[in-house]
Amino acid sequence: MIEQVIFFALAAVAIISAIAVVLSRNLFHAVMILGGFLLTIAGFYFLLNADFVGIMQVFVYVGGVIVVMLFGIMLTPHEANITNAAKLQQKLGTYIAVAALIGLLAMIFIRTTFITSPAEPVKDTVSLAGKLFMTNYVLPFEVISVLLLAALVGAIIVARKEEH
Amino acid sequence: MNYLSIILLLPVLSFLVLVVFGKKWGEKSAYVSIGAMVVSFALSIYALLFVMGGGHTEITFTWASIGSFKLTFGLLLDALSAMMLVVVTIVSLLVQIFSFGYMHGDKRIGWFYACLSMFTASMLLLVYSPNYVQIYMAWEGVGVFSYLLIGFWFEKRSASDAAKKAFMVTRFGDLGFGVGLVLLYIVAGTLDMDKVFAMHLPEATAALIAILFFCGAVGKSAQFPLHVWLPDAMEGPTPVSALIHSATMVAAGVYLVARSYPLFEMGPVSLEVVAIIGTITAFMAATIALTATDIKKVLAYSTISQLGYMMMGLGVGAYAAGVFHLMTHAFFKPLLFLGAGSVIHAVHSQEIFDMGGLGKKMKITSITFLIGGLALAGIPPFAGFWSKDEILAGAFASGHITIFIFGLLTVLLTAFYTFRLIFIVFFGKPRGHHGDHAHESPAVMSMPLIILGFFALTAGLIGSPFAQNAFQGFIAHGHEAEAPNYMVMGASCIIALIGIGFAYMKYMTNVLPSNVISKDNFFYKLLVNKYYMDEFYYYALIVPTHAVARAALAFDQKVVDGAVNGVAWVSMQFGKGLRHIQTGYVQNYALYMVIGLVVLLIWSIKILGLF
Amino acid sequence: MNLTINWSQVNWLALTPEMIILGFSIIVLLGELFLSKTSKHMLGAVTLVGLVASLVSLGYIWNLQATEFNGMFSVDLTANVLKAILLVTTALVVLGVLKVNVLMGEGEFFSLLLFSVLGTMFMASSADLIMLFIALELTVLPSYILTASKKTRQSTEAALKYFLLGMISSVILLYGMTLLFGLTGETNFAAIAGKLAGHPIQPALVASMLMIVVGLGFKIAAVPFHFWAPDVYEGSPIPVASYLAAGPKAGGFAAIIHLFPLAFGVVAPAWAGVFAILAVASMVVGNLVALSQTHVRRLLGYSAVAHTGYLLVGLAVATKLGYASLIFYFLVYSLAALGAFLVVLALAERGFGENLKDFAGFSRRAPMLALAMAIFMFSLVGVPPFAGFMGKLYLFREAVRSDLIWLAIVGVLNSVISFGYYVTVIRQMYLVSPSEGEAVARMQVSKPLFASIMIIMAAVIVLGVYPNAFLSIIKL
Repeated sequence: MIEQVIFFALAAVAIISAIAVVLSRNLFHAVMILGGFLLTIAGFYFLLNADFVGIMQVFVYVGGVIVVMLFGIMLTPHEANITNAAKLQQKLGTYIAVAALIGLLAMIFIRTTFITSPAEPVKDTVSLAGKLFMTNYVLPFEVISVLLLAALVGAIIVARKEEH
Repeated sequence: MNYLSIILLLPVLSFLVLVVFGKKWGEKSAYVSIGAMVVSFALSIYALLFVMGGGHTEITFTWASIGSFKLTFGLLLDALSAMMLVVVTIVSLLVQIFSFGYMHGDKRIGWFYACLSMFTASMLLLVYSPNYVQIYMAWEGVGVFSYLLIGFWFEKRSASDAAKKAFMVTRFGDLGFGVGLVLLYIVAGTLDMDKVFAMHLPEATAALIAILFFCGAVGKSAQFPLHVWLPDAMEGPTPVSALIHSATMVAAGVYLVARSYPLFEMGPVSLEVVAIIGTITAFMAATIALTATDIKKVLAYSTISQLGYMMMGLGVGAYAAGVFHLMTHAFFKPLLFLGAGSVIHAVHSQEIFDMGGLGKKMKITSITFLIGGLALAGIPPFAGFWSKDEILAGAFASGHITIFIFGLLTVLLTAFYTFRLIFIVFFGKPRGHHGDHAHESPAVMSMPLIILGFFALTAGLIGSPFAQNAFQGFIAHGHEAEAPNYMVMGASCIIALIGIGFAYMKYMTNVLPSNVISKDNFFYKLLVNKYYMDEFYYYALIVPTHAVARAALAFDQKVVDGAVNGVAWVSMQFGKGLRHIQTGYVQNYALYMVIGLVVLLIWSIKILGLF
Repeated sequence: MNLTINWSQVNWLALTPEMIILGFSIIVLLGELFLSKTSKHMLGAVTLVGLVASLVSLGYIWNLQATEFNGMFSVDLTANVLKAILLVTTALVVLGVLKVNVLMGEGEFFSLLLFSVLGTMFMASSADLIMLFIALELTVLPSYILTASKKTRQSTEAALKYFLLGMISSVILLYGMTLLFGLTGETNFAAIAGKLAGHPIQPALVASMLMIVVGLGFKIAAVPFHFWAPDVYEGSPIPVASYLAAGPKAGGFAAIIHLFPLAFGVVAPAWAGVFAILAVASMVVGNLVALSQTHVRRLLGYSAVAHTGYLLVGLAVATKLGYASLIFYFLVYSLAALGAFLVVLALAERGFGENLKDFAGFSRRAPMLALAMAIFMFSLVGVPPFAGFMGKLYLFREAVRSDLIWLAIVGVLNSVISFGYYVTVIRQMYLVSPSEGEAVARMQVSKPLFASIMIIMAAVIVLGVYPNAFLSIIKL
């Protein structure tokens, strides 16, 4: 019961903050609200007993991504408000399409029974995740390392100034 | 390796060699190409003798297979293909020899011979085909090389336009052919000819498929209403016109109908269509030829008209006669074209009113041209008479009286325009100074004329009553020739003579006053403008196509290019970039993706009946 | 839950082609660090060696059927054939650019190229959603960077569009995968199929399926997820565009062929229909817009979209032979498209523009290249006897056999439309003279680039004249 109350509270915060990010006209505000949104997602993980993932969510997104974004905004000259150049038709089209998609998905999910398993509480999710990385998911785990290497090389190339 | 494949492979080899070395060897390239063709011709004669001795060969090998689906490639040798082999190789050989003189001094002569070789190879591949896929491939192959050869002098704007027009118009017909192939495959489950012909397809289906095939033939053989490309194709070098646009490629449509004759017979309605289109073509093209003043255009319209005759023959059930006319025409029409080439070579003009009195200066050319003209006009004993007469007799015997009458009228017109050409060009007094320095062409050019002249004189005899219609018996077992109808023979002969007489009175004497044919006359204008067919296509097809293209362009400029133009320079540093990028357009793209997802979602739910 | 892995049981042979590519990518990257500026040009040759070595090892395990790493990675003939096509086309790109300025450090360029190849190979062998997603990211991430490497406004803009839209499509894909996991509790394709079999269709399964269609549809540039393709093909450096035009789509198609019939078998009518719709949309939009293009690479971009449409016909019929025909057409298309891009590269290397009018008189500047370009165009139209004809024949025949006659007819009509713009290129090369006063001199082409184009031309002819040469190797 108490879990359900927390879930709906978190969900409400998540949805409202997500909409606020999209509608915000101030870039700085948008990023701050986005940080809040990401925290609520971490809340979901904790609620699901996935403490390790929750902590990582806070570290990586709130502590990393959001901070980098804020640096980006502060270090580059920018206008305070994004002038929204979208035309009325564009806005209208977007609203209708998104509403249709959400409506359809809602109808679909209401009629769907998802698989649920009574999850036995795991005491130590860190070691479980570690074991999974080293056994079942060892290949994707290693491929991710290659992906990160490629991303590093790419970041250097993109950030480098033109030589010629 | 079988000798049949050697006939095919030699020109291919010649093409490959000349593509690489043609430039280096220059005029010596001709030896390679002509040498290959001599051997192919000799082997074709051997093949013909083999078939005449009752032989029949079919070689197939698997060429592509995916799962149970196999495509085979094959060489089919029977009476029809043996005859075509000989016709194609001999005409190609003579044209190549003639070109050696005609194309003398052209810088790209190596490429010219390479194209001629490969064109011949494609044509042989077509002739050999035991299945429709191979025919279709070879069909496109001859189209491509015809395109290259028409546009050979691409520096000339009109030549490149003509090449494009020829390709586009014939493609229009090929569309029907392609759809017909798909349909046949759906219905019959195979594209092998012998299997298809052994089936009993429903009459309506067979007729539909046959008519679709005929669409392809209409394009390739320049039948009404897709004949408009052939006169323009005269922009190519004259030997090309002789080979491709009189004897071989344009006959491919007739060949297709002849080859698929069992299919057409399964749906007899299709034969009526063939007969009617053929008749319209024959008559209409002959009338246009009356007013044309370009020597090659006159011949081009006469080719269209004669192809119409062939179709008419096939359509009224005179199968052997149609094929017979294809054969005789393949000798006398290249003769006329090469003769015209010889004249053009001498006077450097194609306008008949620039010529005149050339008979004395170019004896061989004028005599052989006269033989060709007599064959075309249908005067016995020249080749054209026997075959044309067979067609008319067939139309008469099968009760197609209207077609028969139009056929006779066309004979009159044919004789008239042919001799109008001959009288103006070779007789009378020289007009202007173009012909001042005219002299007979070198032996390399006149020799092929003489050989073709010989055939134009004699080739008809093998199908004449004197030889008990030997040709018809050879080509068509079961389609026995009609007993000679001397009434029809006499009538067509007299009518042809009347036509020549009119031409004589009009152009050689002053018996007919010149204002009998007034140039302000409605009919004259109609004919000079070729029934306004080009204009019709321009407004009916080209203008709307351009409109659609413009609309597509507008869409592109507004929607796609607009995006490109509108986006400001974007810095690579992402932070800086955020300021500059007008993400509106990217948002639009994302929006389209979302809309696509929504539409597909609704559709899928419906199709699965989930809600 | 099974939390062990027996390392001695892993059949490492199955992974050798990938391992070789990985090894060479690291070598090339280190080469960029340690080699002197003058000796760096060797790195292209090293990359070529790596690709060929990988291809050889692939030939060694050609008939191997194996699933490794607890169902993460599987090898079968479909995967091997698509990997081989990827390796061959990439090797041809590398051969073509050996003597070409790649606008960035050679080591960076070639290692990113190899990373992307590696991702595509893993994608082709994915048997698990997680593996598939990561492999896909490894495929596209280097592509974004390579697209941006020119650092001009156009290149940057194209890269940014590609990146943003790519992210959106990845997110949608991930959402679809999550739903699939939510429905079955599994990430392995076969396990998912096992859980779904015999149960009524859940509506969310359809949503999941379509979201994955969006994600993978973006990678193969199907309408309406194609918007990046023309921009990227036009804006990126030409060597990059050549690579993108051919190779990476192999991963997308392999993933679809492996995932959909297996995991989404229960909703097969829905996705087959969806692919048919996408096929028609791609063909029509691609061909019509291409008609009005004057920039050759943009034209090729829209033509690529149209060809994705033809390829989707093979998915719409949803039969084994359909997939086989798709693979054959994919090879045929990639070769011709790659060849066309390399010809554009040859022109650009000599300072010519990339608009249609810059092709005027090309047949006199470089007769062999013009001939090759003409053959590529004919093959793309589907004119016999070139490879494109055979490819289309197989595809449309499968459509007819599967009672999708209308789809075959739409395909044939589109081929006719496409003739309109391909023939313009040929016309420019052969029938239009360059503008007045411009001297027509023979164009110099670097030897490797010329060799690469000639190899492709030979392949296009051979595959058209004797397709059994290839079909018997891939055992289709």
